[in-house]
Amino acid sequence: MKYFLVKTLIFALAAAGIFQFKSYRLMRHDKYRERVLGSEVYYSIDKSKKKHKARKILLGDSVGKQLFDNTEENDSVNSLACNQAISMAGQYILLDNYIKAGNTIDTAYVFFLPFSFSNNLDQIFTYNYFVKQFDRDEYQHLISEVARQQLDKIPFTGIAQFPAVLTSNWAPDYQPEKQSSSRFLSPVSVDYLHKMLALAKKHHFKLVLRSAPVSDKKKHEVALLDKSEIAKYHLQEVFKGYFESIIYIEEKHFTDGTHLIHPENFKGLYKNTIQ
Amino acid sequence: MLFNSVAFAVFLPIVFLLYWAMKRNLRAQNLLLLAASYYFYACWDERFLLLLIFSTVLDYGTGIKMHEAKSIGLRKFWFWLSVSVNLGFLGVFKYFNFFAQSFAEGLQQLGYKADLWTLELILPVGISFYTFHGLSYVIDIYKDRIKPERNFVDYSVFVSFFPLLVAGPIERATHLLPQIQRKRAFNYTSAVDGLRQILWGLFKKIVIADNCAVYANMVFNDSSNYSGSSHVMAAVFFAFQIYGDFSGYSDIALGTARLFGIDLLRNFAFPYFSRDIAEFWRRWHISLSTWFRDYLYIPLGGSKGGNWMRVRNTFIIFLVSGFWHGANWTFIVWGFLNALFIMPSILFKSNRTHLDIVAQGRIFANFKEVGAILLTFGLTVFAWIFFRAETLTDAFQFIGDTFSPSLWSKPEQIKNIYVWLLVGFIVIEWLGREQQYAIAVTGRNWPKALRWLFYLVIVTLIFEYRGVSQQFIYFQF
Repeated sequence: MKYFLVKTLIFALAAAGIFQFKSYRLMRHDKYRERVLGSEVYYSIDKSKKKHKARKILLGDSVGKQLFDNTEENDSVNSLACNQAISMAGQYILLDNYIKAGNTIDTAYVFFLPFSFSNNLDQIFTYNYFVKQFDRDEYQHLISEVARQQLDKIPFTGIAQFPAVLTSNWAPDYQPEKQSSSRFLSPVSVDYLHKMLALAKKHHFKLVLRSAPVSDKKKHEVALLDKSEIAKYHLQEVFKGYFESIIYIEEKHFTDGTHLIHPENFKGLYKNTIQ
Repeated sequence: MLFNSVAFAVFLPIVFLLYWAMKRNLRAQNLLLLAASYYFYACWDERFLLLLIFSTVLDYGTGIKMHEAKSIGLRKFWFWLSVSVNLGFLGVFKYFNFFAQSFAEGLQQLGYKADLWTLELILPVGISFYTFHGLSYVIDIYKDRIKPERNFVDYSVFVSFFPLLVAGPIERATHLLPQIQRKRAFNYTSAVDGLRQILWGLFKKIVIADNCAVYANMVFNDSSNYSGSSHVMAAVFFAFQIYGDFSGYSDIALGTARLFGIDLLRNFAFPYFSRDIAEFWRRWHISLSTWFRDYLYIPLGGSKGGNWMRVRNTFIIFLVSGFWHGANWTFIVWGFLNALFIMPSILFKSNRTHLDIVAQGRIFANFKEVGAILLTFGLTVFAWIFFRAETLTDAFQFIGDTFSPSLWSKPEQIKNIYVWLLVGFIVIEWLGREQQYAIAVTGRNWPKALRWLFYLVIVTLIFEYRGVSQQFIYFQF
């Protein structure tokens, strides 16, 4: 029995050693960022820290990214769109980075589907899309109490920066509380939309919320969202024209009811809105 | 608690160390196994722990009552009480909504508006497995094959033993109870073998099943937007997803049990190397097939009687088997197809032709064997389409989209690395097909350093190529 335990322990240590070595190799030059879940978030973070001549910036979810790819260069609109999984907190941090990098903004567009605002840092993707990228020392001052309360509910956030965890797609099993399907704005979204408005006022730029195309089969779901929350949380200014601007298109244009099969066919719809 | 989770990686060593620390006290060991098993189950959903305990108490009590019954009538009473309550729970949790909705749809077809009440029920994890487990015990007592277990803890461990609790194998009292009742001694070779089987099971689940699932899900969820060749690849990938998932789970279960000095029934014997459908069903989910054979097929008359009896019993078994998998017409059609595929061998009495292992003692199979394997695989993959599809409409849509001019085009969005991993996996499985599991004797004669390197390569592949974590498919049953 002792012999078995000793041999197993040695094997486990050898396996752990290999894993650590692999992790450290990936950490060098940040190679892991291209390979893991949330790679588009890392890309947007890096892009947000660079100076750019465009005076329009676009933040957004994955459908926003389909229309305005963050890997494409555009002199007039700089897209940092990545994924709704980073929540409005992550979008705010990207915006803050962009301003701190010395960029001048005339207009900041936030391209979010109506359902993306319910993200309260309580999704199964939160660990791989927000915790690993943003729950680190450099952004702690930007993580509000509301966001911190949510993050504290997720297990193992303390080891998210360990090389073995950071360089892999591992995330803890986490079952978030079920929310009402009619909830429109999560507390995190409310908190950070107000912060974005404050940034916009301080740096004299416009903050515009718009949505990517929505499937016509989801019109009913959009109608059921509790829009009274906009007035309740004093966000009328930022949501002005948002719901009216939603374009509904046939379900057949979507792969999964949310993402577009051929996004290039719909970019033109937003030419006047964004350009 | 998933087998491939950090929680299980912490849970197992703790239970293992405590278990063998108590090796001189069998009662304490069994109590520990029971507590650990209940904790394991409660991690899924503590609400259903009570249901598990109730089912255990019911079968324990009715087993003793049956044995002590003074009359046949009373004996039958206790037997049918246990069967009806157990199947009743299974029926309500698993099938109530299916019957209600099907009945409503049937009425609508006849022009009547029906708005039947459906239940908002969560399916208790593993209910199909532990229900059948308990039923086999009760039936064996009724048939006087075994005497009832008087020790409640021992019986409870038989029902709830955590490696097999949520997805089998479906054990038999004659096989597992004696192992629980007698003292276990730590066996180094057996424990090492157990760890090796766990490693291989994790590889099958994490590397093969979870990566195959990504492609299979992509195409099945949006089949009209992919080429016919992509459909074929998706169906093949699903075949390996379900095999890697379920047989991987079984390997982990058997390996884990071996760490505790307990041998569980083998559940998979390289089914995709079968030369006909009859052989496939002797090698796939063996514990369920043999359960249906012993407790349904044989009582119905089995192969005795004429062709009509054999055909009838075969169809019943496969339809019930399909239904066991889920409350959906797709599973019933899956079962029906398998019954259809096996029918020729039943009618021509050739269902016991291939009892040996294909190409036994040889490395390569001959052309006839390869042809038979590919044909059998093709038939099972076709049937899996129904198993995977959400609805019959989706299944027929998938099949329709497969047989299009784009069937001959290059499959879309397949990553070469996953194809090579699958090919490598098939080669290792083929080379190890005469063993209990593929790597059971791999490297046995190698120097220790080389053998360890082989295992560390598997560990590295698990870390490197872990797919997006998917739920074990059979947990939904």
